[in-house]
Amino acid sequence: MANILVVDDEKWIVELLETALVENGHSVMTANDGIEAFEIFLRSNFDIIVTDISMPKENGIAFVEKVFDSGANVPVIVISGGMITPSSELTLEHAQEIPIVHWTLKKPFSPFELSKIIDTVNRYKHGING
Amino acid sequence: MKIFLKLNQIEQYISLLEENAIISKTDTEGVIKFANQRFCDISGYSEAELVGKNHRVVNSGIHPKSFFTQMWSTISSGKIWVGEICNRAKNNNLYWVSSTIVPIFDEQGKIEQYISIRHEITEKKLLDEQLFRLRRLESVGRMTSGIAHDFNNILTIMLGHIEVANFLAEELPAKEGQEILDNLQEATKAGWRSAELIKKMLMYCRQESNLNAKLPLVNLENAIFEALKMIKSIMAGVVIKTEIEKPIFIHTDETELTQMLLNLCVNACDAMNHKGVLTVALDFHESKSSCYCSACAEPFAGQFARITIQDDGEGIDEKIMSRIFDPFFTTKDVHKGTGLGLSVVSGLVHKFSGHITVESKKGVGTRFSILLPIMQ
Repeated sequence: MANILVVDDEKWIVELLETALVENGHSVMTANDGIEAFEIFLRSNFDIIVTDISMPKENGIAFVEKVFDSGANVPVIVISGGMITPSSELTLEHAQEIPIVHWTLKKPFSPFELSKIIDTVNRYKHGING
Repeated sequence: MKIFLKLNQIEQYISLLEENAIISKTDTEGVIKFANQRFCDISGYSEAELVGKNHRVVNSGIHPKSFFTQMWSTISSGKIWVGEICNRAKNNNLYWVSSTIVPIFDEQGKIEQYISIRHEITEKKLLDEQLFRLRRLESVGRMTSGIAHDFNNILTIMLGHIEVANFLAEELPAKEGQEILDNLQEATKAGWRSAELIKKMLMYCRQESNLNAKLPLVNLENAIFEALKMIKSIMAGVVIKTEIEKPIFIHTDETELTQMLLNLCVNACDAMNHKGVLTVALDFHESKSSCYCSACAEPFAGQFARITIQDDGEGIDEKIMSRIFDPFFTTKDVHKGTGLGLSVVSGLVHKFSGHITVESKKGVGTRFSILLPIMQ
């Protein structure tokens, strides 16, 4: 089972995903913005990060870029409900360009769907790490 | 000598004015007594066709009645009226003029005629309108995208909890459990229907750009025939004609291309009340001078694969033309259309860096042209 960091500014989504993932035997920590998420990330070891893009204080892409720059090889699943502004670069396509982003998921999605993706990513991670 | 020069200057001024301005003279009822050559040129009417007619002959029907009431109230009270008017030429084309109407008094101080001096400002008005539409589309796009984003969050929460409830209901005794499961299934269906609607809204905002950078090469001719095959059953009374100049291949998403064609064909079919001729054409189009996109109002030029969908239906009213690509704008009856059809087409066309144009004549029909760039 995996140690997962779930980041979303929508508290109900965080609660829902936390409940579903804990139910599936994962260990979960949560954050509501990129800054808080990076602080938690530095204090713990995570197997997988699940993060939203559009968030206050610091967006998900900036957070994932910081994680990548730190040298950590943590697979990231990026979730998004669509951009806020049409000209914005806060897109799933943009997120995919960051090497540690393994999966992107458009909202709405079901916790079951996310669980399946987490299992796949987790298997992949353990596969490459022996 | 001095006087002669002044008169000469005045003649020059008048001659310049005659050449460049649209000048007319009417009586107090608005009946044209004089029309200069420029007026004839721009309106397409001969002097004989204009003189003796009421100035309403060039009325475009665009302005409300109150516009002319205010104009007449100003000039009939002896004041000069200055404003911008949209007129209609003999060939039905609209043109805009900046107009100054001056009342002329007789010796008793009574108004005996009106002289109107106009300058054509059609191009300026079109640019103003394009700028206005660009700004409006931008704000509509921002609003739509914001709503879609929030709704996707809400739907994630809603559908997630329904899924959790599903698992719980499965553990209940069969009879009551099944009843709850049936209700949850309906709620799930409604949730995903809403998600589909939001997906369409996001397509309008050009946000759903394809995640695969490399799109397959698609034979547009095949794509057109496939789309027509799909809609044949709902177009029983419509004669479908295809005009394919030559096969054209472009990199695009065939599913989304089909979606565009279906939306336009269904609209065409509705506009013809399901009887008439629908012509779908494909050709190579090179636009050397800048054309303007009817949806985003931006100029474009270059080489394009052009797919044209033409109907001989009732045509689109000029008054609503600028709004047809807006999300949720519809002329269809309640429950017969979401108002997202054309906005989705616009979103998809722009996603492929293309543009769309529309030409329509009341009572004659409408032609939509999708222009997809051909990469060298």
